[in-house]
Amino acid sequence: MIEIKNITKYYGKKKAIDNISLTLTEGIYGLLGPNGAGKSTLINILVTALSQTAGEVLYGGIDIRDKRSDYLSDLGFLPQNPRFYKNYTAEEFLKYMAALKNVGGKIDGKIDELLDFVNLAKEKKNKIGTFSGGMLQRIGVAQALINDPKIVIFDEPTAGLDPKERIRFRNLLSEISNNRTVILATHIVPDVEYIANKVILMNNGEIIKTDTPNELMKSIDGNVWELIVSVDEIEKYITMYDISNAYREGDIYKLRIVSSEQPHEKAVSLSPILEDVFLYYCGKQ
Amino acid sequence: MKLFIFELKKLFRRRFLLIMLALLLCLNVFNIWQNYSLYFHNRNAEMNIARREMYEHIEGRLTSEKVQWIKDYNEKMTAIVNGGAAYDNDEFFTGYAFGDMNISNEWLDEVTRIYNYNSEIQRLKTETAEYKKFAAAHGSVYFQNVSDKIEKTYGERKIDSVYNYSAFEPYFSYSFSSFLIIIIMLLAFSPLFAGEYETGMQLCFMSSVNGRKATGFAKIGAMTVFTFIVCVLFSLADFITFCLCAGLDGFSAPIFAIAGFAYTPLTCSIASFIVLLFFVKLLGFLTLGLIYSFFSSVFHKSYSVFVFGLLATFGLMLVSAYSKGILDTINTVNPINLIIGYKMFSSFDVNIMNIFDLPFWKWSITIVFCLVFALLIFLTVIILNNKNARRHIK
Repeated sequence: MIEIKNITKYYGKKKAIDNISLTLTEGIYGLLGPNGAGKSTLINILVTALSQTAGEVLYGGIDIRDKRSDYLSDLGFLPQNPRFYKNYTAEEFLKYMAALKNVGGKIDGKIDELLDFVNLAKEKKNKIGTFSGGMLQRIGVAQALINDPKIVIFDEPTAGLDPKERIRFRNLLSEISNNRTVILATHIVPDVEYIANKVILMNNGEIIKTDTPNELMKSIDGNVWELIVSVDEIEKYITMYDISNAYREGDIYKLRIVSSEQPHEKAVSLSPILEDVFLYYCGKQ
Repeated sequence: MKLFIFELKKLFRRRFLLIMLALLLCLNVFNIWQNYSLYFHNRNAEMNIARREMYEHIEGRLTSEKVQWIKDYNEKMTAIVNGGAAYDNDEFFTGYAFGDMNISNEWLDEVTRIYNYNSEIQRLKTETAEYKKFAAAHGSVYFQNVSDKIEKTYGERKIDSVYNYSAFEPYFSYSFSSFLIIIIMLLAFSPLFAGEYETGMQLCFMSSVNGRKATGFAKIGAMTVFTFIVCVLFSLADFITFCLCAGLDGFSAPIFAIAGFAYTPLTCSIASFIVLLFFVKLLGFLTLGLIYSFFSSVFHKSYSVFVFGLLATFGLMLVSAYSKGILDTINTVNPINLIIGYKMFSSFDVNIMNIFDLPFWKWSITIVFCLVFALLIFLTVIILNNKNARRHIK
């Protein structure tokens, strides 16, 4: 269990994280927020790459800075857009990561198992420089799991992936979540919609809301509307409201509007989805 | 150990670096061949060959017969040139008397220098003894100690062989290969730490048990081995090319037999000096490598490290060349002094330092200070990698 207690982080005079507290147990956590919300700063603190200005992160009741080696032994991490060593083969790279993570014993079997798990067994002897974006992310997942961690953190793992690879990645994530704490930081809502047990919504360095996706959606019931407007009217609604979707049908537009007030008497109430929740809490207001 | 091997692999698998290494090695060999070869097709080639042939008559242990031969030959050629008879002759080394007279003059000077060296040392001994008496009369403990040191270092010296000693001077002072090694090192070590920031791998290190101190040690270890290998390659290229081109021989002769090293504080053989100079240079290069590693730990971009590393190197070169007064004392830790190490060993008059009234050879102080300096940079790099580096990540 990880306890984040009153974490604050300043970069110079700019406050990046403002007094965040959170408890993370087993399961998948979707850390959702727009760019600049403070997700990466929080992730960097959790992986001990950054020191917080105030507060503490406890793992097993002990500050992670006091028992860093023990904590890091239980941690797996895939950073945002890493460029792994292109001159290493997949096997060499995983051996290198095993050495970095101080994984002893016979590692060859573990590497074969992981490469098989991420569907890269055939690429074992191929250089990483020849890998596609999706394959790079999968080798990234394999390196994050090389030490059989209890906590796994992924920072924007699906950025730049095509839809097929994104689905494949989500499936991998679901498979590894047993008996683990998985934190998935992203600004892509569908990534967490179907797989996260809990969603942590962040904006401006603060946690706006933490709950299950269903509860979050319930929390904005009655705040999502569908309105049909003409082409001439669309500019007005885009300026006034958060639009989660705009669908054109001939000369008219079907707008999906997130608003606590009914935007128009003809607007029809809809069931919220997670993207609406994201817009509701992190949108124009 | 595993991390160290992986770090070495990272260095040796950079194709660009290996291609540059091969190209610069070839450039170095070509440069020596063009500028120092006796046989290179220039207008001096015939003279060089004749000089070499004349040398074969006097080469080896110095005997009165050899001294007489070169003296007689020089007189003979001088007489021919002055008399104007039989000026050209195929039996002459150069084919004409004037050329032979000039070359025999050079060899006669060299033989005379070697012949007179022993009496010069006797004169030095006498002067040192007088100097010691003078220092004692004036109560100067330091200058008495200096006299003892000079007596001990130079008192028993003598040269008994003639070899082509002058060929060693350009070899020892040749520094183009050092410049090329510095370029290779800058290319290799600029991304040592900064490259990990650029690729995002630094975050993987920070979140790994061995990603800090152990990785720092592994990277510095790989830097050391890489520098050693590059130095060995360039030193071998220098040595073999100079041997083939400039006719180096007489490696068993004492280093002070070379005119420029006549009063060197060292008493070893030329061969031992070559080995010593290699390790002195290596220490200088390793210190530079650590300075580049330090920049690489501080800057985010490899090209910034390259630019700052290059500027720092030029700055150190300038300090080494022009420092005076207090700057000269600070210059003692300058690694460039080790890279051009032959200068430290070539004379004694400016090479003695006073430390608590005890005279120390400046070269030994420079080496000790550079070792301490290198150790301090090493520790700084390790600490930066362990702690401070995190502050650079936003």
